[in-house]
Amino acid sequence: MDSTPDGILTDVVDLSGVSLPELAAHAAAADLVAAEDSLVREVNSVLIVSVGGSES
Amino acid sequence: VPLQITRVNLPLSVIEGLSAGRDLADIVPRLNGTERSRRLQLINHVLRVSDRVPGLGPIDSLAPAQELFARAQRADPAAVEDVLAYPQTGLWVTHLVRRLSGVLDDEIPLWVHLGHYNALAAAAAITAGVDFDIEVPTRDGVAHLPTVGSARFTGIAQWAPARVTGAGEVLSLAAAGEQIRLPRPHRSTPPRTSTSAPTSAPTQEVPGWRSVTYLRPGREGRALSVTLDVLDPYPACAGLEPAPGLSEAEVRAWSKLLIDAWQLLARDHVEEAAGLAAGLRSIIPLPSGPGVNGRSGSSSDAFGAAALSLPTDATALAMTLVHEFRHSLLNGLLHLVPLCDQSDARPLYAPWRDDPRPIIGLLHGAFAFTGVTDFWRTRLRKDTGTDWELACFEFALRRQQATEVLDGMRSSASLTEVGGILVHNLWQHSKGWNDDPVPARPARLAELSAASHRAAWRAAQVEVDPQWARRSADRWTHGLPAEPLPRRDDVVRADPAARHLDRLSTLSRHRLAGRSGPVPGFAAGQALGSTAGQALGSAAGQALVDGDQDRARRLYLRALAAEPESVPSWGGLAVTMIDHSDRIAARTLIERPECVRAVYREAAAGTILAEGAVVDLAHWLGANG
Repeated sequence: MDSTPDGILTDVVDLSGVSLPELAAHAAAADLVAAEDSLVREVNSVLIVSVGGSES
Repeated sequence: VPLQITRVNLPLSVIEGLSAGRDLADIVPRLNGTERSRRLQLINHVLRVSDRVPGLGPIDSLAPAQELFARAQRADPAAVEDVLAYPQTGLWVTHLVRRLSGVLDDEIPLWVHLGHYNALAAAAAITAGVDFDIEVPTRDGVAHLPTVGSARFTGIAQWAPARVTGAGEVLSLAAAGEQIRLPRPHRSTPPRTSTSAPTSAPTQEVPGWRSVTYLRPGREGRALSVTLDVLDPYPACAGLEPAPGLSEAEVRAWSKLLIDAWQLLARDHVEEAAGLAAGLRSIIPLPSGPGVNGRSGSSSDAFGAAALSLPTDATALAMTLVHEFRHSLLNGLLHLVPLCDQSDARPLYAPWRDDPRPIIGLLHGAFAFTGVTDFWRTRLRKDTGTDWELACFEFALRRQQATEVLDGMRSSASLTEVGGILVHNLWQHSKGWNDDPVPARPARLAELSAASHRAAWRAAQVEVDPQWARRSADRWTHGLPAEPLPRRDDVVRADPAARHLDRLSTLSRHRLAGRSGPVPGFAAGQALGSTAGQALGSAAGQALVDGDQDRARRLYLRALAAEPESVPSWGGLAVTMIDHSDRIAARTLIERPECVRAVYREAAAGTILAEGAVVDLAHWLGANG
């Protein structure tokens, strides 16, 4: 991750302003696919994180 | 035109705000945006990968859903956004991604999971006012349209398609020769000035159809809009199985409690209310358990959802919403930046849990209970009478627990740099809690509750070298000096039988609320009081919260003589020693109860030792060890 003047530039892709149909039209764009693969790896590495609340 | 791909900037002010529980009206929309980007990408992945899956089943292409989403987008973009932002959509897409990747499996045909995308598109189209006709999956006869409702068909296969049609003002669902028709439900965002009456009518009364219930407490500027959703099938996939259904009376009970809870939050907890208004979208009612404390939970895949059983009162509901939303906030931050080494599974002590937790769980707890402590700090300043005494107790207890964990986490090598900043900010924030004095009685009960839980947890789950324990028992029996206590390196092994270690705090709440007699749920449902040892332990706990430590100690000793394995009794006995004149025995029982228990176990094998033997043994181990 890189620093910015006020914080950190994360690895997360910012799709604000991009609609679902717009994104689908660019589904195979290489840089999108690379970011997506990284996200899928992250999702697959955490199977289920349910955090118990006030049960105990 | 190619998309311009940018990355999300995370200002450090966001971490500062999250730590201190402020600026949530600005921070939560940022996190909503991150979650949206994340879901879009995961849906994109599903669309790409599903093309390569052959022979799916009755719904074998997502192209019709794509086309329907595009039309809904043109008619009413907000309708599509509502569906995307719904927490259960996050549960669906992550479950499907894992299923497609082969990292999990379930009994549900893949086409049913994929076909849920059609149901999402239908839901968007319904709200957008678009005419459409599309197939959606049914599960055990139920076709579910997320955020809208469910239709139940009879005489249909376990997994089958249903056709959903929106034409003008009519919505119809058809399967196996059966058709359910209802007025098209309209946008689920009535004026913010609406009251909080459940808004699932009038479609609720259509035979075979159940609407998702919306609750909207509050007035303009301070309003909350959430579903009360027991219909969506995906929380169950994440271990958050909702209540099987809600009767009208139950919906009314939820509605009334939420009105009162929201009034409390909007009036006294302004920052928390602003965060909840911006980010909480769904309450998933859980079945009530047998205990007295209620159940609640969250999933990292469902930003903006809180799963909980119906709390006992509005304050408990407000607190639980704050608590669970803190988990959502931390999950949102974790989706932006790693905070710790999530592969570090070493089991650690979490004061609010019976079971040991890995570092990520401890971080979640510390973050959530920092918010909970702030909540009770405000209540301590606002409430009066019995409510005030209870708030004092809760504040003191949560302050002690959160501070203990934050103190320990500050030096954790498992935190990332950003995780370290977060924990440092939380720790600094916690310093402000020391300004609030707590009266002696609730402060004392909080101290006893925290210490008793810690001692019981150690007694049950910190391993002791069995050879050392055997040798020590032998030496004690033969009147020899003790060997030194084992080094305190805390090898922890989870013991699923270690349950209800927080019973002293439950008893304390009961007493502070001015109630007498047995604690509801303690006598029957929780295996408490069902044996002689447990009955004695329960009586000992009551003596302890009533301030009679000597009587409590005698009862705990009798309880342990009858049932040496009862870890809550070990925890209770330890805290009866806090003011005891035998400082050596007291220190050993409070700090190393696992050692006393392990040796006692060996020494007492097959025999019943005298009631006072535990204290003698603790003294011997501490004095000579």
